[in-house]
Amino acid sequence: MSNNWETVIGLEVHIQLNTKSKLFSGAPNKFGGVANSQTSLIDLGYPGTLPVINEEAIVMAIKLGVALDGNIPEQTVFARKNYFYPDLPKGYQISQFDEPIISGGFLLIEAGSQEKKINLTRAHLEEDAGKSIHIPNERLTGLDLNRAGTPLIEVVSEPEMRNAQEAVSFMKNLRELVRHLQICDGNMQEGSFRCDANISIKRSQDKKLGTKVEIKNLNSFKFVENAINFEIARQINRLENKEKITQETRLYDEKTGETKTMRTKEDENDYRYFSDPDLLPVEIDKNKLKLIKSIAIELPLDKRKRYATVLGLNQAQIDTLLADPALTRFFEKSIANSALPPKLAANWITGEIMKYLKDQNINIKQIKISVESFVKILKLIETDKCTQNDGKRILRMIWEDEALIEEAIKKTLSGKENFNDENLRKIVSKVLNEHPKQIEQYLSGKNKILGFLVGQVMKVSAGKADPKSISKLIKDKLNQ
Amino acid sequence: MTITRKEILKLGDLAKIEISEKDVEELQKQLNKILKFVDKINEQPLINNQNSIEVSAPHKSRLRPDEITENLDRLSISKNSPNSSESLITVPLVIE
Amino acid sequence: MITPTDSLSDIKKGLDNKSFSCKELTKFFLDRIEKANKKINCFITVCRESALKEAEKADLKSNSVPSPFAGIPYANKDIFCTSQIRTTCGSKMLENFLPLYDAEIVRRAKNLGLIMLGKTNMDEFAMGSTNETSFFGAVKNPWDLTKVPGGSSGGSAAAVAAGLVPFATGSDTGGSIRQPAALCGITGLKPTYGRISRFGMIAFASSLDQAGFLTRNVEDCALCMEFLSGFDPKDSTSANIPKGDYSSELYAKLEGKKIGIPKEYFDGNLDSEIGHCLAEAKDIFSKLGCVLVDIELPNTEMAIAAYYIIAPAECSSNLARFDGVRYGFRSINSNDIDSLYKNTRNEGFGTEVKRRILIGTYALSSGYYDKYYEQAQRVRSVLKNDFNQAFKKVDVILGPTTPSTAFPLNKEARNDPTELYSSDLYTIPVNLAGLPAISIPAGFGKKELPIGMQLIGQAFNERVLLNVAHQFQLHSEWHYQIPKFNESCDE
Repeated sequence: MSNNWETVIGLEVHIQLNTKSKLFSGAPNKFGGVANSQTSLIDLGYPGTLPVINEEAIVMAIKLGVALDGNIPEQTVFARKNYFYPDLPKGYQISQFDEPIISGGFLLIEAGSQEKKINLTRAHLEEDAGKSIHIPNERLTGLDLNRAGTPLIEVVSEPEMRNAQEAVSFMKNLRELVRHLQICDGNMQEGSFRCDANISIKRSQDKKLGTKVEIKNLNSFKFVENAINFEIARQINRLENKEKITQETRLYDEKTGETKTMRTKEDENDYRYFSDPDLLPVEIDKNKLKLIKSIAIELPLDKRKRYATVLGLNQAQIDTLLADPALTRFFEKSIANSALPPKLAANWITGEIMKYLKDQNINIKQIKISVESFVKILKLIETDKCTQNDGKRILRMIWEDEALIEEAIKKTLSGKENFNDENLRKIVSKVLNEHPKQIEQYLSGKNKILGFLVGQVMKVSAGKADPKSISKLIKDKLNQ
Repeated sequence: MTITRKEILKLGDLAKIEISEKDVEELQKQLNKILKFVDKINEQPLINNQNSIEVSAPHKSRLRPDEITENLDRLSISKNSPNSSESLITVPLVIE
Repeated sequence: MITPTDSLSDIKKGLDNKSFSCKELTKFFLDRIEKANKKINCFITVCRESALKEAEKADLKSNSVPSPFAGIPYANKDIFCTSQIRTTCGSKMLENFLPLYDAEIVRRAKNLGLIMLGKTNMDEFAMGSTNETSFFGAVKNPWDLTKVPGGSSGGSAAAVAAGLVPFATGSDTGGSIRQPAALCGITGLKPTYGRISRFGMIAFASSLDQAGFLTRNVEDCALCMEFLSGFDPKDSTSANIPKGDYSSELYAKLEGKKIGIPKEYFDGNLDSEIGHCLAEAKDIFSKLGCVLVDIELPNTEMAIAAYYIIAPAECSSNLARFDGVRYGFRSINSNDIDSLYKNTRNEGFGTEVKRRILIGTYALSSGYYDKYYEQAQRVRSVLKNDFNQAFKKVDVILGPTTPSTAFPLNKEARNDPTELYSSDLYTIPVNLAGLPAISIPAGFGKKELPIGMQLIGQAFNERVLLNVAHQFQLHSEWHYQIPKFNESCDE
């Protein structure tokens, strides 16, 4: 029974910034590591310690704000969010309340086949808490505080999404964006990109929103989709049975696919926000802001459009090239200043290079050849100076050591120098003169004869000439 | 403005301080005395009624370069902690 | 010969002239401490062994540390973290806490060759003005053992007054250096907010706390300021504003200097003895060529109310870290995390601290934030403006430090927590406005109890403040007076 129910979804996405050090201390910001091996006195809340803001985190937040078309104020203020939890060492989290570093802005998502604009309320900087590891059979909870103090940006969307797919699209597009901005690795399993979803249901004719339920800590697209769908069904079910929806916080259980109430009544917490007196307001450097705005970063969605419409790439290629920002950069560098035709570069990157990366189980960052070498080889192919196969051969020779490139090119193309156009023309003329019958057959429409003629030329040239060039020369000659 | 009994217990919960039944009444008296004392700030309009709230110091916050400058020794952490097992600091099981 | 109440420069001369060695000097003060502490309880921890060791080392090095402090003993209020030396903040919560680091001021002191003799007693977590809330027992005023020394830096003040150390560090949030200095007849300076690093100083109210010094005279305060104050990148509220050449500026003549006399400080409520001392002080300044100017600080009354909202609010948050999880006291037999927190904090904190945390929590809570916390911050802005207006007309502001001399020790009788709050009338506005202020001895009341005079300066202008205060001391002898008690600590 549809009963014209409408779903209203808002997301709060937590983005872990990949700075070298923590937000308020110089402790290392790295995933993993032995428990409690990456902490500092400050992040552990030892008495008398004081926070000092990481400049790079501010820069990263500004980059994100500019990319989201948000408003960056002249000054931004940090505030304390006060509550007790064992993995929150100071008994408060340093976050932002009034005067966040980004307000407004929007993100484009796919809603079905349409593009939809999701407005953002704000985005702010805050520190992450540590990790609680519950050990029920020992009646203990263990605390690993490595993550305490890690810089996060929390992006808060307006409640404008209408179904799980839109929410997933939001997550996907935002993740792609932060990876391209190089401010976050987007590794969801490791928790560097996760969200809380706020879901409510109302009748489409109602203006007032229904009771909001929050589902915390969703760290995969699948979980986001499943949790939201389960929650929508759960709420609709209750409403249809005339039962009330409790405003609460729930957790998603991946084993059962259900959302469950959290025992700790976090929603009853009064966070008593106030400006952190250990930190004075941060002035946003006007020059830095100008600089960041001037380095117009092309957003991933715009790249997609450009790759498709201007560069003429197909969807599969676009997906591959954009999946890894490092790969995107490799590609764009290779076609910069019209060094290579985009389709050629795309074919080879999504083809030969991806194959090699897969075989070696590495990513583009670990590859030993440079864009310059790649462009050099492809230029030979483009100008018909060597065949595709030759190109592959050269690549194979230099995977491990690109210093060998000159030698590799020489080796592969040796003997081919003799077969410049002039020489080849002579051989072609000679072969054509020796096969008048085949010429007649070709001119009367038997196109397949071309292959035979090409083969003859290949024989004379001992297989060293490029079949494409031969074919072209023959055609040119015969069409005269 | 007076604090009610219920509010006192809520405060105890927010501030994580145990307030026993026998303490509530005395605490209520004392806190109400303090409230009466500080209510002075609402008694009369402020002379030079400024709405801007000034910060404690005239300068802006200093930003630190993104560098690794410290790392606390694990053993020191467990030495200071009242309860630890292996490399984790432990507390009674928290039920979510 | 070492006199226990010698100034720093005299002691340094003695060391340089080899009249005595560092070891002899250190031992001299340590012996006095041993005798005195039983009676006045001003030290929580005495570092006899380490101090003597350091003194021995200093004697061997002699003159290799080019500082006026090399080899000189001092004490730290137990609010400053000292590496591997117990730091309690006067609380059961940190009864056995060994910090892994030094507070910045302690680190600088070490580099200058200062020798720490111990950690002084204080009101628990710096909350109080009598030093009676300490978990380690009350401190007694050397001038009269039945009276309070003031607080929260009561231990430091008593130690300096009794000639147990040449000077001691303190902290001041609402008067905690100046008030005990006044009640103990010594000099106490609270610099401008941001002048001295708060790193390693256990936080009470972050926007008000400031470290400072309790000394025998203004000259010593200037020396301390010269070497121990200044920008620290580890403290985001630390100001990167050039210091003055405090010592040499002490001698500038006061001719033409304008001294503000706030009408609110000198109304009919002022204690007559204190009024009398201040009248004499005003005369001295007039004779030195100063111009006394009438000024107004109309929002003085509201300042105390604002303070007792802002300070508890900030402390309720600052003290949340004391939860028994990572360090400090942890209540035993708590089966779940909630009881662990509640029992630890109920057993670990004293009554005054718990009261302030609860009031602070209330002032920040939903529904009350605007009415209390935000309103208090507005009062603060207005107060700053009052001072700004006043300083357009004058160079320093003169007034009493306290409304009375030291009152009797008697915690039990004090049922009304607000009884003591009003006595911070003159000191509190200074912290709210972030200004520097100094209390210097200005006379005695009946029963030979000291009276202090407070001078308030413009932000970051300690230079002028110290100059005016020093000139007063050149023309008065109150700061040379010594309590009879000191004799009992002599050999």
